[in-house]
Amino acid sequence: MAAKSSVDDATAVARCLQGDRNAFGVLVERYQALAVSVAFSICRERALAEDVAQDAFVRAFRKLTQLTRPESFCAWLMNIVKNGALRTAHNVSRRDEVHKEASAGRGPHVENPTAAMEFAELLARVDEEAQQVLTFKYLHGMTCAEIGSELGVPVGTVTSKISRTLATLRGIARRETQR
Amino acid sequence: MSGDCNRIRDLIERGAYLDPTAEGFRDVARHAAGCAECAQLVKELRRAEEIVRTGLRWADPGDGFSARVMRDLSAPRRAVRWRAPLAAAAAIALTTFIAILVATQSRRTAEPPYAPPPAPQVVRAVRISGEFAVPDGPKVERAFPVNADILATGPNASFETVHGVGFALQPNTLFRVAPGPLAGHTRFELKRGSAAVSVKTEGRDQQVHLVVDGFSVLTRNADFLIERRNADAPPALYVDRGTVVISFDDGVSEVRMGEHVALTSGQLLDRVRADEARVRTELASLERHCVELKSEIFRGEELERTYWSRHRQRDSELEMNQEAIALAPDEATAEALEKSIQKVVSTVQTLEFLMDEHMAKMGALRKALRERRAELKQKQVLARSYRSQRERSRALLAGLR
Repeated sequence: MAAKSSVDDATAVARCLQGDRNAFGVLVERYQALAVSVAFSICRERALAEDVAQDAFVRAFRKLTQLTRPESFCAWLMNIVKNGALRTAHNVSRRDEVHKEASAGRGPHVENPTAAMEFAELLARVDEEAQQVLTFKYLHGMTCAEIGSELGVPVGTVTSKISRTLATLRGIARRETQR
Repeated sequence: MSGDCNRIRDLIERGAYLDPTAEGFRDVARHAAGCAECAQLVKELRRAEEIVRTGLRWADPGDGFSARVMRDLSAPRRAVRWRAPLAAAAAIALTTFIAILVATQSRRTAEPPYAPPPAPQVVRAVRISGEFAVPDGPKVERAFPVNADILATGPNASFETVHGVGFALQPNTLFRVAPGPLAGHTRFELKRGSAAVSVKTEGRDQQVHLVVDGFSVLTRNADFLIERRNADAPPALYVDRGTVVISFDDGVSEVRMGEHVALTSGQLLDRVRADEARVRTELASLERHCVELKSEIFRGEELERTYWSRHRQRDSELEMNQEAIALAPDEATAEALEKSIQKVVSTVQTLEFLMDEHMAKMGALRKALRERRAELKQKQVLARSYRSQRERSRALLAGLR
């Protein structure tokens, strides 16, 4: 798991633009799980999702100068991930269609982990800011106050956002408990 | 729902239960301790938190991911390297196509002039797990006639091109040769690629021989393939499908492939990923099975402890009854105690029978768990190897860009 860093997104982006590649490494570590998860919700295959996320980070780095609001790096990156995942999923299905014989008997590339899939699907339905906040809290173990100061928003906004997202997740939690 | 519940629900909605330092956290906890409905709500929200935590941890690709991204950042950029040659190739393709149209029209009256083949454009390929892959490229959907008539010579219908020239469309693009009827003129459909073509038949089989830059490729009943190399450049080829024998002119290597073997880089990665996904799925199901077995064993051990404690109870009952018989004041009491002893003995016998059966079942369960764990270990090794294979493939294919 990536360690949390004291450098915020905007500062990391600014450092990258000044030629500091290590600063981009901080952003990669911060958002790699989220990127894989978002890609997985579209590609439905773990390895493919990792590749899509990897490409998205490279693409993001190369287009970093086009990012007008560095503090919105996460949302911008997730859009790149989504587009990349959609493109890849389309290419894969088209290739499978063209080469039916070659892919015959291979079956669809859908991996099983139901909970992970349900989570990824839900994650794809919430906005990028909520995705970012969830990542900070549940992957990097930051407190609501730390998240608030990282994003420059009041703690109450952070807790409300998390709470609203979790309330949406309750449906899944219920189904899981019933299993 | 009481008024207090409403206040607590409002606190929950504002996320007061999330942070122990948050205002209202204690109120929520205190209220939930005495209100089943609100406790259920908090429990479900905690479960949702767990799903998010597990989901994100599952998705986290680990420490190596960042290193891989940083390595990719250092790789040469694809777009810069592709645009110029692609534009040049497109221009060549367009010019050639126009030239063909003109030539086709004018051929009726006069022999078209010899057109030198366009400069070779190398299609780079890498070999992964014994197979070759080239970069994915755009397809040219339109069918083009080959830049030559195919002329039949001799009774065995050996064919060669009249002009013997190559035909270039786009570099790094798919190439298809679909021979028409072998009579007089044959029309070839090229989707993408570049090759000089000659055709001959042997018996009922038809062979298409493609020569590019001194390289030769042979395919039976030509589905398609292309392979080319410059003298200085590394071997480069594109193969899509068909039974293929490729002979390198310098005798360095010979590659034999079965049917439907060759892939574009995208297809190849798809397959590597699919293999990895399959192993991961098997791994997940094995892990689930192990967990089920472990919990069954755990339940079994609890049952075992219950059996033993009952057994001990019955033993002490027996001892007490036997002592009581010795001290029995009269015959009737002794008889009653004897009957009781018989009952306890029969209970002990039943218990022992059940325990034997249970122990056998537990033995089988433990054996199954050992086997599944060994299998799991093997699958974990396999999954790791698939992952590194994917990484290697990605790195190799990155070199193609």
